[in-house]
Amino acid sequence: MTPRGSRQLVTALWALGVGAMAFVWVFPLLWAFSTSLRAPGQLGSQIASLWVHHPTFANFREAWSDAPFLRLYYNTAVVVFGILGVQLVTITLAAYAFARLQFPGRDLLFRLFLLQLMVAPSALILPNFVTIRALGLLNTRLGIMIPYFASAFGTFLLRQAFRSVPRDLEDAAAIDGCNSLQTIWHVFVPLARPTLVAFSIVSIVYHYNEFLWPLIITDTERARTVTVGLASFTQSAESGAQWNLIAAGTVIVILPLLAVFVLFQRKFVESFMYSGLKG
Amino acid sequence: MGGGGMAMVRRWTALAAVAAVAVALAQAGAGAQAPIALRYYYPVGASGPLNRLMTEMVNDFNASHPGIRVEPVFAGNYVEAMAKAMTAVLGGTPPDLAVLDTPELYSLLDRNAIIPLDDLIAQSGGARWLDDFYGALLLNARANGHVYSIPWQRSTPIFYYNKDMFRKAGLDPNRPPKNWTELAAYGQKLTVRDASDRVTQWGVEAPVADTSPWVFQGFLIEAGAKYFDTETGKWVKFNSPEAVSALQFILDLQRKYKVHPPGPTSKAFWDQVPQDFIQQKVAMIYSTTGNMTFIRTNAKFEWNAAFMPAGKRYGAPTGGGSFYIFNKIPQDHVQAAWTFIRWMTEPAQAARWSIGSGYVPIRKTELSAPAFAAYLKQVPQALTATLQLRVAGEQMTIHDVDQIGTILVTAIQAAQSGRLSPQAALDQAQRDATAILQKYQ
Amino acid sequence: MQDQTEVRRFVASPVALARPAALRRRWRVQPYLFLLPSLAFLATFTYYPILSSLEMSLYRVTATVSHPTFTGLRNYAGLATDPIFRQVLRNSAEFLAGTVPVTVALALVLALLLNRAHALTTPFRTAFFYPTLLPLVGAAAIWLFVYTPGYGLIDVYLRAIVGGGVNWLGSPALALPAVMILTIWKNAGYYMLFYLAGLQTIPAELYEAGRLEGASGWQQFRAITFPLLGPTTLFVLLIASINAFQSVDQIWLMTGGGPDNTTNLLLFYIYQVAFMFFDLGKAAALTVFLLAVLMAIAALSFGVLERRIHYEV
Repeated sequence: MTPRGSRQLVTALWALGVGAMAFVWVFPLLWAFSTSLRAPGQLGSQIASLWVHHPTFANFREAWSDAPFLRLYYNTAVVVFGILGVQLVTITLAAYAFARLQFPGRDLLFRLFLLQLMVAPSALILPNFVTIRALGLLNTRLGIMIPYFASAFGTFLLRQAFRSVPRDLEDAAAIDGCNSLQTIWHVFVPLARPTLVAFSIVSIVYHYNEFLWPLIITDTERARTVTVGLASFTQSAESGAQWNLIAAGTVIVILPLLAVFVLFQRKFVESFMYSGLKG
Repeated sequence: MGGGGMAMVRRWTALAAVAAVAVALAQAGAGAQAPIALRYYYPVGASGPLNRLMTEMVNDFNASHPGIRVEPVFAGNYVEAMAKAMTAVLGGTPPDLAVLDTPELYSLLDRNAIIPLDDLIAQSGGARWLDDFYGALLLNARANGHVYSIPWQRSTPIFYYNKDMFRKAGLDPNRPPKNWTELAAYGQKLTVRDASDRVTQWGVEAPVADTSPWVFQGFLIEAGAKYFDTETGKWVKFNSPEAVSALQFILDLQRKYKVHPPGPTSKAFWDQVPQDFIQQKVAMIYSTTGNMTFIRTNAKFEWNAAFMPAGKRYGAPTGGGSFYIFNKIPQDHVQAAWTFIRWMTEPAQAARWSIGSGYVPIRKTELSAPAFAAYLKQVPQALTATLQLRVAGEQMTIHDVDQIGTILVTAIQAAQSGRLSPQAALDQAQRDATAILQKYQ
Repeated sequence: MQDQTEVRRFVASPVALARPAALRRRWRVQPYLFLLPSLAFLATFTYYPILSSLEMSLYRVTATVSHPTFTGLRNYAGLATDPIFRQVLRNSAEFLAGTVPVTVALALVLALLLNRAHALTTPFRTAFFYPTLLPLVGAAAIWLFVYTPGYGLIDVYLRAIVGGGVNWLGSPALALPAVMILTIWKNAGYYMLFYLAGLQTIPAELYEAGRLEGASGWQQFRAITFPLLGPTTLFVLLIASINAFQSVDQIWLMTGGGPDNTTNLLLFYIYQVAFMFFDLGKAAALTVFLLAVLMAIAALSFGVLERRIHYEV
């Protein structure tokens, strides 16, 4: 066999092998999509197949009327973007201080920040619940958001980006009469845009998917998020699993994020990659 | 540290309470015409048909009672609803009323969270009014000589079977197994294996323990076990010979007769059982009456409902939720909450709920409500559950019931997995439960 | 790019050092002002809860006692004799040992396989990465069906390999592995990206030099790729370990900790004790234990992180 031929063979084997594995990886998702389209009565062993004979949106209609999804989406959007908005302010200020300012206790404070990377709020559900209750924030969106307003991860990422901003640009801004906040806004933020975008995507995904904390904090749909709504689909207290309906509910919940992902695939992958590279 | 944190939390709590009182006073001063707003915790998720039906009924109540506005809080399943209600109580802002898992009685009393309803019942016709409710449903409404809850969405596990499969196996489809011996024998006829000895159809599936030992309590009652203190909820007896025999029978179905899937009955199994039934993977199942609507709409074969087969006697635990009114709420709220409970449990409303949800009728007069009579014609099986109530026993209602229920679940699963013998598993559960109940002696 | 900014920084820094001292002194409170918003939130929701858990763990706080009573180390003594806690520790260790190395190894293999220019590379990467974007509860709801005996995906498609009728989530031996498989599926693609990023930083000349010396693919991997990916591996191991100790959503949805407590993990047990049994003192003691574990990992990893910082800057 020619070297070229053997290279082609290796490529074909690669495509086949990795392709098979990739198929296994996407199979559960494909199954969820096809089952959500299967008519409620269509059961039997074909429930495991990917092929749907007579696709219908009946499950979606039922799922949609079963839960106040618009409200849940709205709450989720407020929570996710609310967290992100505050985070962007807190991490920018803190990252600038750590990257560019000299002050006593800097290293100690930086380490104190990093502590939050290890002791994520999810480990502190009990004490934080007590605090939120004492603050009267149970069953509010603010209660879901507030423990995440500071982000060690974001501060850390952004500090790295800020450190690579050239000093002469900063000095030029100072000569132009910019104060620190103006310098941050006109020099640092624009130059760190890729990092900010990366952090934003990671933050949005994380908080969109968060479950236990909003479950504990909320009583009613007033503040509940989509993941909590989805769980109540699968936990119908006294009836059997209705897979078609559960699949439809799952699709409704995962679709927004997946859709955005498909549209901005490259950006997403880069962002998560970047968060690893730097984080 | 030294108490600082705890003190701070208490200060905040006090502050919040003061603020709440201030708000309440401001509202009271704003105008006597404002309707009384009742916070009503109800155990269902943010979704589903029960949520819809409950919302409709509450809206109807509010429309016909201008002085009262009931505001439902859909708080999740029983466990979560209890957690939310407790959180509110401990935070000093109790709900006005709630439907909670009936066996939580002592947990609620221990936290001084609920009030006795005797005076309110007396206003409403006293014993005559109360006697219209099925006696079995009131068993765990009483403690220390008081009535603390009014039955609402009550259920009981019943026995469903596939008549077509009975015919195929040469069994009389109108004669379900009467007792454990027949159950095992039927099971053997109804378990189908393929050429390689793999089971393609199981005889029976009983989710005896998922996250609660509810269905298992039916077997305990049938075995004649007195497994908890029905008077004061202060002791359990999980390792009596009768209790061991109940667990042994479950294991026999799995191992000796091989008519029940092997291994522990898990959380996922609870949801799987009715699904298996409509998929025709199993001939006979134990499941809640709450699943009757699901089975009726999905089964593509002839099915029937029957009593749970008897051991020494027939028996089944009651289950489901009841109305509780909370402590430390204003007197006019108590009255308004009672008005709401009275209205909801009127035969016509109760029948509307039973038909829409599949829960058992709670009152005798409910059966003669025109809507229910029509429903029974359509779904004669629904009567079985009601009849079984006559032989039903009390669901375990004790102090710290959630924790002790989990202990019993663990014991059952340990025996099913073969880690412990039935006797050893139940001995262990008895020791653990007794240690917890120690503080109430 | 990195290198260029590096150079510029070195050129620029003397200027910074030469700035008048007075200019910097004028702003002495400014750094703290900039840190204040973050520190306020960190203090309330990270530092204070650590301390308050420590304190609450010394009290008997349950829903039945209206006033917390000081009990010293009673809650910790209770944990020492609690058989469920011991099982939870075993489960958590097993979960850690079963998910972390496998996920990290799989991520590395996937990254190596997908680090080439081909039309299919991007769709393949997407296929492995997308589970990262799914809510864990959503993924768990789907996997609940995957594991259903009789007609679930595994039983229908893998009957020949695994055998039929396996009750994955109902078997004490298989329930935890089943949850682990879901977790691996969910995370491998995420960690793969870290490795892909790492691979891009390895200069191609090194491999050319290796080839010239006649090194085989495996030899090149051992001599070049793996050592140079060392920091990435340490970093991924760290994240994966922290994640393992904070896994809870899938337990809540799929098993409720059962059967026979075989899938009860530390954070789920905290949830159970705190929000189902209302034994807040015991839950606080459990929280303190979890924090100790996480801090231990943190202490080990500060070295790693710091080295990583040096690499990056």
